[in-house]
Amino acid sequence: MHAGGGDRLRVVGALSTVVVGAVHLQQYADFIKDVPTIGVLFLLNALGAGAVCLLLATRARVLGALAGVAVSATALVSIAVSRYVAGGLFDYAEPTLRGPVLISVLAEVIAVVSLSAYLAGARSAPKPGSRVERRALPSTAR
Amino acid sequence: MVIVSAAGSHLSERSILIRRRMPSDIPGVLRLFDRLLVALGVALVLGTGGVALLSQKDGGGEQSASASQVEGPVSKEGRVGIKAFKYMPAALTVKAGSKVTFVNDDTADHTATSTAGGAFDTDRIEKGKSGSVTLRKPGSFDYICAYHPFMKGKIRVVP
Repeated sequence: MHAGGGDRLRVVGALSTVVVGAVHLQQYADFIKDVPTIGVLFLLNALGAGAVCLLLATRARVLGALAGVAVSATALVSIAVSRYVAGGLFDYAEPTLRGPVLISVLAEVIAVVSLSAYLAGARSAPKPGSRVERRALPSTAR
Repeated sequence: MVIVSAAGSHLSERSILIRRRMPSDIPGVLRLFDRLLVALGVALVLGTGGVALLSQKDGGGEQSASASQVEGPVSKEGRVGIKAFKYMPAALTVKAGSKVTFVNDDTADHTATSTAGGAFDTDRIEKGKSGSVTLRKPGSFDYICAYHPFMKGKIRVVP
């Protein structure tokens, strides 16, 4: 993958993750803190999103992208369970798609897609000094 | 663009390829973005800690009030508020035939649903709205929110 494309995906994934964490933190402060278990999970999501941002800004970007996919995918599965499974998630159901829920779901989908694509690109990109990359160098540069 | 190097064109081509891979060659915008990302990450982590501490001070995260905590005087009409995932009062005593209104002042939708064989059910009460039930049969009725079953309340109906 072209380095510029990879950076674009990282930027989009990181910004989406910031939105995911911010919405979870705002919802926690608003009322989710009163909900047993779910409140703690919202805090952990915001904390995880912060850690993902830090990792995506460092050399551990692949780890950050992996963690970012995990954080957002977990949040997506959780909202699906709380909305569609009888009894909800830890006794918490989300019967209405409120504004913050919609924003968060949208950001989570974007984060999962962009960071997954970033990971796929990072995996297929030739490692520095590898045979594939050496082949890509012009013969005069070897 | 032609890059002239003292070491010749072979070296300059190679140096271009190598420099493309070097972190110091990341465009300024990306470097700026990475700094912004660090700031946002730190803000999220610190913000989470701060909000958690403040919530602890405010008594957040506590379980819903026990149904046996508050029981007001017997009344002909009952009103139960719903806020912060709690029924207030959590326990209420009314006379048979009374109308009990549940007022949802919370940020989420709720119900007041009897746990004992469908004695009463308000169905969904959207935030900012209210729902009522009329209780004709004497007895003691525990109820929960169908969406958030950790929310518990109790209504005693006396003849």
